[in-house]
Amino acid sequence: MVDNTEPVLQGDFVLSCPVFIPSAQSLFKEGETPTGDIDEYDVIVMSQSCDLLQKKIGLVLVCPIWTLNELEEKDEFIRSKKGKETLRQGHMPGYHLLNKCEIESMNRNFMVVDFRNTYSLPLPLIRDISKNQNKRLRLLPPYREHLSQAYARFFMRVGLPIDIPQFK
Amino acid sequence: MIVDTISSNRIKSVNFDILGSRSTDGEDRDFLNLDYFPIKDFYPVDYLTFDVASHLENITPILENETYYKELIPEEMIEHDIFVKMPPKRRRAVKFKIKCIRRAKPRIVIPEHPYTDI
Repeated sequence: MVDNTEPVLQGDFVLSCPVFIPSAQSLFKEGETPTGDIDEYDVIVMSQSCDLLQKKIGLVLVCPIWTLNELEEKDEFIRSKKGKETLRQGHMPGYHLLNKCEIESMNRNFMVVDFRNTYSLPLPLIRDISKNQNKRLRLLPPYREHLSQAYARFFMRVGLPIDIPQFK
Repeated sequence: MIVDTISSNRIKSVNFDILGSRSTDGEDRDFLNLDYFPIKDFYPVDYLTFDVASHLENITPILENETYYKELIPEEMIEHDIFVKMPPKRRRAVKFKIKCIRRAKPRIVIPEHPYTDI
């Protein structure tokens, strides 16, 4: 848990981040007033800490986080014991399970990071939100590197059109 | 043994009886079928032969109940590439006014220690 005066680093939990979704029919012309939605997500920062500290990036890569219960409600496989075990073992490449947080006043159940819906948000926005958060959670090493590696594995995975048949 | 510290859930312990001494620790070769003199063709007949079968009475098999480990390939290792569509925590409809549309410019970051000299 870090104070809001701390700089934003990889593995920081930033709550209620707005993501602007313009409507499909939006006209992007000067002076127009198109419509859109703002979706709010609790996210975890995926960008490298050194890039954030040295301001070498203007946009911060973030991934939505969900409680395991929220995913369980939506998906039968995750609801099953086998599904949760598969998730725990890291065999669901699009998701990454984070352990419970038992820090007083920051208690959280198991959280799941969603790698499929990544967003890039402006760094000043992320800083502002984190400052308003008072205290925020931060993954400790080596868990944050483990998360980063899981994302890399998800991103670099290759699906073969024809696989080698299973040995019997 | 190093295996004592292995704790992966993908690894299952099995009991394994080995023949031989501690010097073969970690090896599960069949002692009786091992050709100890692979270069014997270069030597005269009977020079380097070692008939294990006829010396069985001199060989004391040491039956050790060593714990060996073999890696399993469970069904769970097959990737479950599932996707759960989750709605956002909160959604608000907004109307916005476009003040200015400008062409984006590249943001170039020069590394402090470029690898040009390597």
